[in-house]
Parts: sequence; structure tokens; C-alpha cells
Amino acid sequence: MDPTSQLVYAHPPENGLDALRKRINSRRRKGRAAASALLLIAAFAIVFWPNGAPRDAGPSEASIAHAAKDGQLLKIENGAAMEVPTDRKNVRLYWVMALNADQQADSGA
Amino acid sequence: MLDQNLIEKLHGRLERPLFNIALRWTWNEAEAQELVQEAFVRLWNARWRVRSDTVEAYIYRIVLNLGQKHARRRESWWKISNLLPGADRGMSPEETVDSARLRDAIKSLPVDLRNVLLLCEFSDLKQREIAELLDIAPGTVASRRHLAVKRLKEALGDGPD
Repeated sequence: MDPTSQLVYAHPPENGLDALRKRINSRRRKGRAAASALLLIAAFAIVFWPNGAPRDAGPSEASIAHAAKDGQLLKIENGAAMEVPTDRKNVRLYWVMALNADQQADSGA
Repeated sequence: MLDQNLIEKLHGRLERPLFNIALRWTWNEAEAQELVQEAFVRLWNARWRVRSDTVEAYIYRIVLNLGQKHARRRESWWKISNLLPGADRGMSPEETVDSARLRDAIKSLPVDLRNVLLLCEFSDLKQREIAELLDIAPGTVASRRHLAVKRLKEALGDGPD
């Protein structure tokens, strides 16, 4: 007798298709969540990416800034000269005029 | 590309033969069903690169691979757990869908013979398709099936032809 005739052709449990649908839908949700997370990261990277290295100060700007810092009339913040309030009006006026002239020269270059 | 509708249709058509093949590796209905489900999920993940004309062979191949992997894992675990007397073996008990003697006879077959026998008995694949699936010559399918049946007969005590 052929022993394969003794093999029982068994029936799988009935909920197979529903279980498969659940698993596929779960995979889909995970795939969508992963894609959304990637998009979000890309969007953040584009928005917050630095716009390049800070601009180097030109020689005249640097010298003015240096002298002004020494005189405690100007301070440098993020590469830009900022006026420090002072009562010595004449001195202050001189440094502000020098700074404006320097900035005009820079923008004209 | 395969879509979910096509995969569900394939599931409806192939679930039973795949389940029966998986059952002859796991010897446990719940684990066999889990194995078939896993095979279809893997097919879903690979849907971009599987062609519709080869999908049937693909899913059979996955079930055979998963079945062998399952059996190896089970055997390794038994070897380890046998070293620990009184330890909980932690594996689900085998269910006797076939007679215990037939089950033991199938388990004693080498993988090559077992795969051919299971595909010949439970799938609707033609001999040529089984040969392509297993990457062997069509004549080898026939000879392996013959040898497998002979070994089963010997194991069951019926004696060779």
C-alpha cells in the first residue's frame, strides 16, 4: 500500500484570511508612519539647516570693531557691530559715523 | 506588482495546500497557520519584485524554507533542553494529524526527499513546476518521490516494493 494514501489532508483554521488582512494592514500602517516620520525629519532639516558659515569681517570693519571694543563703544554680536550706549556723545558719534562709512564701503564692494 | 486583492485571492486558493505542507514541518496546527501567515506577509513585503507568473512557486518556496527553519530551531531547542533534566521544554506539543508512525517516518526523511514528497502530495504543481521551484531536473523529482515513498514504506514496516 502506498503510505502517502495515509496522509490526512487537514483543514486550516477558518480565520486565516482575516488574520492575514490584519497583518497586512498593520504593515501598511507601519509603512505610512515610517514615511511620515522621514518626511517630517526632512522638513525640519530644510527649515532649520544653517544658511552657511558666518560672514568674515572685512579688514576695516575688524579694525573699527577692535578699536571700538577697546573703547567700549561698540560690541560685536554675531559678526555685527552694535553700539554700546555712552554719555561721551562726540566719541560715540565718531564711531557710529566710521561704522556707517565702513558698512557703505562693504555694500558697495 | 502584486496588490492586496491578488494576494488575498492567492491565499484563498493556496492556504490549504500550504497549511498541509507547513503542518508536516511543525506538526502543530497553530504553528502551521502562523507559518503560512508569515509566508504571505513576506510575499506582501516583496510584492514589488515578485512576478505574478512566478508567485505560486515563490510562496511554496517560502513555506518550505520557513518549515525547515522551524524544524531546525525545534530540534536545537530539544537538544539543549535535554541537557537540563526537569526543565520546561517550552515548545508546543505535537499534534497527530497523521498516525504517529507515519509522522515519525516523514520526520526521518532527508530534507530533499521530504520537500519533493510534500509538494507532490499537497500542491497542485506539476512535476516540471516542482523541478523549477527546487532547482532540480524534472526526472529528479520523480526519482526523489519514488525514493521517499520507498523509505516511508520501510519505516512503516511494509517493506520495499
